[in-house]
Amino acid sequence: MTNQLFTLIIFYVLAAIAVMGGVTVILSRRPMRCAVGLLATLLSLAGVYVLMHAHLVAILQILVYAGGITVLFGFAIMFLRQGGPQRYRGPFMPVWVISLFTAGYLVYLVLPVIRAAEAVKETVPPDYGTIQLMGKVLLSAQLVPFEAVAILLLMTMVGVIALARRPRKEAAS
Amino acid sequence: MITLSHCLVLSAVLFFTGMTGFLLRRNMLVSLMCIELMMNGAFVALVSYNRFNPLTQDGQVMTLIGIVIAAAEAAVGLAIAVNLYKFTGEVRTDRASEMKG
Repeated sequence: MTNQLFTLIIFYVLAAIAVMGGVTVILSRRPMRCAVGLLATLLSLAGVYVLMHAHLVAILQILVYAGGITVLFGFAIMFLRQGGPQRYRGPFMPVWVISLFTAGYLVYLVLPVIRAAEAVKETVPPDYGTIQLMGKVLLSAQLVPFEAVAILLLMTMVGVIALARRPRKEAAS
Repeated sequence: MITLSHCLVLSAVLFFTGMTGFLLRRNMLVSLMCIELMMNGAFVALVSYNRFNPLTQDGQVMTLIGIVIAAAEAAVGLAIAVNLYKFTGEVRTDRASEMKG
């Protein structure tokens, strides 16, 4: 019982860090602080995945998201001159309209979920979420999406090279 | 103990945080970060549904593939941001209001 309470406390702490990181992303004027807030969110979500016994997903969250995507964002932020903290110019709708809409829709969606708190099946198979089982699944039952993602990565690489190269002489003139 | 509701509330809050930021912010890099937030909310939902039906691995596999897709999307988005910076000198999305090459 104390173990479950401890798990719940860890979950609340991780969730609070994740939500605070998300709020930092959308409120901070400096893009680098946004990137650090995103990093906090991603790392604490990796902790949530560990609590969910999804160990391989947690590892890849740290490796790919926190290690790759955040570095890419930081590189882009430092590469492109941002001109300091930006003055807030109005969006296409007032801020409070958007915030009220999203907050109201969130409450509308979340309230039934809170009311229907269901009991947990605490029994997970002992190899649930391990790298061994996930590797077996990825290479047998889920082979088609796995290979499709490989093709997608190749297409992305070609596309990014085509986007980022200098235009040819005759195309430029 | 953690119930499915806890995870779904966390997922929804993350998703709507990202959605609010995507509607509010005009910096293209921050918009991309908000897309990442929304995808992470969806991943939390997938992993937690899989946790409470532990006889299959489908949610986790979908999350892994989604993480790879998010990486690809971030790379393409940042390349587009670099191009936008070349054309307009800024990375604000409201400066990209015309699609002429």
